[in-house]
Amino acid sequence: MSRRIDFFTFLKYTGIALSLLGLLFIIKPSMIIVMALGFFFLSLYYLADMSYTRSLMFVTGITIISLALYIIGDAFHSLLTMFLLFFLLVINLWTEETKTRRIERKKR
Amino acid sequence: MKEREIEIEVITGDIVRIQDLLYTFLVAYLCNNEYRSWGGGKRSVSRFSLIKITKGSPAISVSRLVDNIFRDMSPDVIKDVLDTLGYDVDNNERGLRDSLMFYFRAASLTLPILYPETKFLKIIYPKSKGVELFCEYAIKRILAEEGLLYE
Repeated sequence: MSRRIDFFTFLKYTGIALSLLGLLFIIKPSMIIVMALGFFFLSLYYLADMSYTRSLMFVTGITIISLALYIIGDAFHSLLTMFLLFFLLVINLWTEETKTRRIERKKR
Repeated sequence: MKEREIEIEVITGDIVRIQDLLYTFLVAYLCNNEYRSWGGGKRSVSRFSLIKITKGSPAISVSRLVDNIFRDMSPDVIKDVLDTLGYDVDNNERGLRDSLMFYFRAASLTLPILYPETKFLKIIYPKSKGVELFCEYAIKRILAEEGLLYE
């Protein structure tokens, strides 16, 4: 039976494909960014799926890749990876609301 | 008809947006003690439980929520609810399930803006504490909406 692919399913499968592709290129450090991009998609997918722990797991993965690239001296790709982290941060903040903090303060 | 129907209108009053529907289902599954009866014996995960306990930590996801909704409600009822909200959905169950999952995933991104207490579900450890806080505020909101909460 055929299955319709929506945006979030697309994110999931593209994320898996890019992560595996990045794994193939693991010997070429500059191509690890493909894996980071895959993790970025997967993190977005799990964020929308409300599986926040998994989403955070992929954010950690991107951070490790970024640090690893910086340590091996590939500062340019490390910076590009950091942009992915920045986008994730912006998206995460966008889905938050300061009102929650107000509720917490009121409770205290 | 499935064996169990959830009286969704009763829980949060009017449902006019897809976010309201998602919130209603979250409250229905997370804050209902019957659904949280995971303790005791070998059968640690109840048949109707949204919260799957893995090493003492509950895992919540839209996919699991939709699975539970389809287990407890008949597709016709779900279709009617989505039709009422103005969403055009497929007639077959697979299409309906995919549509509901897509709408819920999209709605979950803006859910904390409308219902700030859903942010508590993001607490990583211990997640049961997050669920507890979520339910506490959700129940307060429901009581306030019904005019039953007095400060």
